[in-house]
Amino acid sequence: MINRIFFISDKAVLSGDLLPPEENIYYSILADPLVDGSLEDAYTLITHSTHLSLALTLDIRERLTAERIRFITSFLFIPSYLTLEFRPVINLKGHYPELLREEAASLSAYFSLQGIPKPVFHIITGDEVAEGNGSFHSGEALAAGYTHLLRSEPDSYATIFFYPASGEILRSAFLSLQEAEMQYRREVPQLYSLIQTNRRLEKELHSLNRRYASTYTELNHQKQYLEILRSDHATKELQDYYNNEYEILPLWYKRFGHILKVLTGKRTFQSLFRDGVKKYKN
Amino acid sequence: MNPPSCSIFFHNYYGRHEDWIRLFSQKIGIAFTLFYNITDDSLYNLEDDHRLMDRLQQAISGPWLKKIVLRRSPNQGKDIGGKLVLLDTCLHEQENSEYSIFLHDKKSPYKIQNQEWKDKLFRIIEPSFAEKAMVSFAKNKEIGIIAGSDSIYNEYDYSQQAFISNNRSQLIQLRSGFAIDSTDYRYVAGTMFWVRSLPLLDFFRRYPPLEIRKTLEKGNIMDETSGSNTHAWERMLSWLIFAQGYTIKGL
Repeated sequence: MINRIFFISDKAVLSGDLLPPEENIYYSILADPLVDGSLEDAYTLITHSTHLSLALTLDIRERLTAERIRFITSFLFIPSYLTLEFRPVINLKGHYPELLREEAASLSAYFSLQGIPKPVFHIITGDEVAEGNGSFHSGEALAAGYTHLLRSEPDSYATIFFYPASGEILRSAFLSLQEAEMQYRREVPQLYSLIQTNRRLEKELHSLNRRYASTYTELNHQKQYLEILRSDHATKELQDYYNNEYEILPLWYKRFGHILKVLTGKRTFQSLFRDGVKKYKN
Repeated sequence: MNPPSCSIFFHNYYGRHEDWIRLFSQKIGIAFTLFYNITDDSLYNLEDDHRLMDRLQQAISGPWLKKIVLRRSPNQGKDIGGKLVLLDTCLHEQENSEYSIFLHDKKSPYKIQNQEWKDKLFRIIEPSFAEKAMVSFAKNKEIGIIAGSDSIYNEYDYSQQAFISNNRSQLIQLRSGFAIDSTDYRYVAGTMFWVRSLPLLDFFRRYPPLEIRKTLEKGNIMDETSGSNTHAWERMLSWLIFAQGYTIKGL
């Protein structure tokens, strides 16, 4: 798919047979932080999901407690937790946009304290299509909404949220989306192909940026290590000892020393003239 | 009585995951769960998660490794930060084992004798060491931590009644904040040791690991020139056990 589709459902649906992996199709488990065991169930499901990345969709009706924020943070360390462009994704769903934004800010602040920068928050407040995003509960509305999105904003990523009540509804919705996209592809094949290429290049760019950042960091670590080694440290003592005891001697004396090594059998004769031969006998 | 079991808390920065899992499978001779944290912003760990998880599950071998619980975290608090993520995971998983072992893929490129230091620390997973450790734990209920005798340090100067350490102000603050009043100031340098799980997890049920982790420094923090919370917690991981009436034994 050229747009991002989130299938948001409960444990029963997400534990069953899902669709084969498909570009830009994501799954999210719906959890209610106010219901005992809801986050715990989601945590277990995501921990044991070895072939599929899953995100959390939180039903927010009131402020999250510090304990719940901490628990939600624990999800982000699970390797199968969904990330987009290496940023963890959390969907916040509810009727009060202001509350959702406040909770996104609280979560974001705590994640930052844990070294997790720039999470992706999706704020889902209703069924209407807004800012290129839409959330749908019926397969028919989803297909119509998706067709509308493709035609209105084809060149930017749209994100769609759908709540399938069963695995069957999920599969049927997916087929409708595929059909809508095929139709669009038939109508504007060149544009469709360009969008696909753009998506692929964006992905590569994020991957290369990540590699660049890690390489840069590692080079800085190595510089740090060298500075320590060269500063007030045992290696400095060794270097000073070498400089004072050997490096200051005249060149002719050092050369004579090498001949002496050959005469006493510690160094091979050939190594005085050639580099590529065995130098020392032990 | 059930045979003893242990949890290994291993933090990885330098990759080579199959080698590590193979090593633990070969060395550890009691049932164990491997809690394995990967620094995900390390240059050595950029591999795709799902392919990695598949490979790691395939690397499981031997009769003693029960399961691998994998986590990924950014480089914050170095190995201490990673171990706190694993302790948080262990509490969520409600894993019950008698003993825990802290390990990480120690490399100290800024130390001349880094390989010797690493070998010394990893001696604790040799079968002969493990056997002696379990006999000692069974014989003396007051022993809370067992480590290599050459990695037990003490930075407290009793005559001056002060820590001789770049981390002294952090140590004083943390001891007071976490009500550590034991006068045993020894600790395991390098943070690789055996510990009884009961007092360890009791402490972290009271003080959630992520609350501690958020106070640790980001990136490759070192205490060569100034102190850090990260290095202070290296000491605290021993002291929180002493504060519950246990002691330490070197082998």
